[in-house]
Amino acid sequence: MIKIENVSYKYSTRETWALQNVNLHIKKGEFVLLTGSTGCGKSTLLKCLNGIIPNETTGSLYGNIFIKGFNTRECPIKFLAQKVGLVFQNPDDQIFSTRILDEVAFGLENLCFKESEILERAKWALEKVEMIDYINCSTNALSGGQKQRVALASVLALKPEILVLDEPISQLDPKGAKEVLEVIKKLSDEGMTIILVEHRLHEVISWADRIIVMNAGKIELDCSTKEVTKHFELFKKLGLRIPQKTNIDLKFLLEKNKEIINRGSVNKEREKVVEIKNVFFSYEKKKRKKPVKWILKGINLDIYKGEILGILGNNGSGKSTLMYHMAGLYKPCKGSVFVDGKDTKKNSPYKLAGTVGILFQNAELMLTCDTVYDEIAFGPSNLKYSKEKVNEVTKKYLNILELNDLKEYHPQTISGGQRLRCAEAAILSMNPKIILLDEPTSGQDILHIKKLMQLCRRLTSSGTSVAVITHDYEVALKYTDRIVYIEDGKVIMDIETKNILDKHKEYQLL
Amino acid sequence: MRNEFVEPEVTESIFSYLDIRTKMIILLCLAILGMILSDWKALLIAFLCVWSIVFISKISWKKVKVLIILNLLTIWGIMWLQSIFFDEYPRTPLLYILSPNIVDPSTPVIGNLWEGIAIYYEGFIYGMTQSLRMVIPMTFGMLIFWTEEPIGILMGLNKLKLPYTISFMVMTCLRFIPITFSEMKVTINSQKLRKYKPFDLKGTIFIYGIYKTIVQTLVPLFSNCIRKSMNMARSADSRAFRAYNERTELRKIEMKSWDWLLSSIVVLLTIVIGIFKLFTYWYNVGIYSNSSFLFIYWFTNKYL
Repeated sequence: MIKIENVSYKYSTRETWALQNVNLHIKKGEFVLLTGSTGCGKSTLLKCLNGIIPNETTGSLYGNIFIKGFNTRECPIKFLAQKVGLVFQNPDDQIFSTRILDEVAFGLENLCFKESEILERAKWALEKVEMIDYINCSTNALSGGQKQRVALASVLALKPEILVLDEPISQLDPKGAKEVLEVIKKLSDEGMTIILVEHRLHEVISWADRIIVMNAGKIELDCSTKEVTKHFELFKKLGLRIPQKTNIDLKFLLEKNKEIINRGSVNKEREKVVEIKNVFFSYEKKKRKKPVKWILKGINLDIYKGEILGILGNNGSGKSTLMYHMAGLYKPCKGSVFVDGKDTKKNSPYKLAGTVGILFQNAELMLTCDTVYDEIAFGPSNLKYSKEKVNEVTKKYLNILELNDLKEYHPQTISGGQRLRCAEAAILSMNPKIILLDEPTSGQDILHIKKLMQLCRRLTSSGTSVAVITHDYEVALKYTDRIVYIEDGKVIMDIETKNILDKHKEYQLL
Repeated sequence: MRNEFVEPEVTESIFSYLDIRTKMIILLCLAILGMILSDWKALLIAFLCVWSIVFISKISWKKVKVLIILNLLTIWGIMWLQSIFFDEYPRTPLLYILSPNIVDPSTPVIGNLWEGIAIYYEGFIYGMTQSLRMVIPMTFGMLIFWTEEPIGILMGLNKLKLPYTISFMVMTCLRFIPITFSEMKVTINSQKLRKYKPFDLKGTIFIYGIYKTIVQTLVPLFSNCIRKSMNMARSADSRAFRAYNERTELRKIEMKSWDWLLSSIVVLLTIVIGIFKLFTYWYNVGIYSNSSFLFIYWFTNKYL
């Protein structure tokens, strides 16, 4: 089905080879899991499969790629689009239309299919992804998982025989990820050839036939998933997750620990840095005769000095809204939030700067300066540190976050992982007492996640408190002191992680 | 959180039954009329016509409030600016801010203020004219944006022979407006939490603060837009975008008889006013005159 022969590729703007002499054969109906650390060449390889490389990119391609016997060099993308469907990471970057039917029909319209056939295929594709009931709905009203399913349907409508997915669940919450993976599994069971790039190997390893590990543009491992247990050392060496399903999953955690609030807490003697008291919040203004739609419903939560708090919950549960309250960006409609003793209703975010630092999910939107050095120095300068102190603090975090070589670069020109580290340094250089991290694990490889969480652990030893929103419950279990689960605007679980790990066998993350 | 100001609202009204092309033609004609009409009374009539359409369209009261605020701010702001800085003659001072003859005409730099600084009646009128020229197409344009799906705007632009790729880009931009607003909010919030105060007094007075804030807000937004657009381009290419010169259109739009009638009336009116203005201009500058057009010259000078 797919034959990749001696393929090497170099982007015109880079000096290193993104792919180096890759050879790969994939049979019809295989489910291949492709993994590797950030920058290893996975996405580049996927772009070779549907003709984006070399037809739409500048760069040097050597070797050949054959899709069902057709050489991708000789075929236009419009031909390959019907053979290979490509689904990307961020659903918002794939959806153009405001109506679901229009989105799914997009590719078919481009290929001049007849209207009757377009409608038929669109309905078929939406049934495949279980979104047929939403056919005339707005795409703006969908959750992340639903959007990704619509993106998948849009590709499936072209009836490709090969489906390639580039980290399709990395931006999704557990519920959304489950919805998308179930669809992929169903398609695989029906005989579709699937190539899935993913970091969260433990979630998909049981479905795949084969696993391929890439490193620095080369294939390091290509074996059946039944034999992968023999190669765990390679995964550890490359800084990847161990591809093995854990015995603790979120459903299990919630079933056993739901309704437990602060059981066995020893924190009563410790200093509180954040106190959230009976907070209700809604985006709507209160109107007579119209019930208010509350986003937060009576949240009571304290964060203690020197602890790492993990906040879990599905999208739309109120996690980010709660975090924004801690930063003073939102004011509660009822109840109160105290941050380091200051009532957020009386203190603007500007006044809380230096006490609270927040790393937003889209960290690149935080980078506003001309150089990485200036970016890290920005906060301390605004806090009126002396020049020497600014310099000292900036150099410290350039070292810790491994950004020394990039200090003169514009923050928007460096890679995604480097931008995230730059944003982290920019927050940490202000030495805040409370650090808020909004999904810093999304789309990141385990090596980076590990480094960040270990840095947080070091900071907490000097009294800094950290609250981290994450969908990655394994990371939460491994690195936090306490986990809080939010559902429908309420805290339904608040428990120390050691109480969970004492009861259940801890699975070793890398 | 969904932002209702950036999503279309399809209501049951006469306006919503109009074809998108009719609306675009009306918008174009309003923009032309805004340019060629110079009498504030004629512009006011056009303005009131646009507002009557706003009420006919039955959009939500929140959106109407936004339109009122935008219109008032624009009209009021420009009227006042023009009333103070109006420098044509004749001009009737309504109120002196600086009396005449206080400054000697031979004084360097400020010598021109020897006539004083006043609020002039003609300045108000001029300001109203200029502001109405701006708010008429702006209001109608926003009305279209708030009542039409982006796909409808795309189809309308296609039917008006705009190349599909351009229409597609316009539609994609419209779809991303709410996302851009929320991203801007993230940038501004992160700056606040890093103790940066945009528009502080010193920065505003010396302008550099305004420039710095704008650049700092726009750079991450634009960079993100560029990255997004690259991903979107790959996604579109993967689904055979621009595979052929033509493409099938699943949704159809059709101009009904009232669309043709309304478009024809508006276009005809615009052409007639345009011709009247042209003939009158020729007459006024001495290029061409014709005694049988006296009524046209009189009507144009008096009312248009």
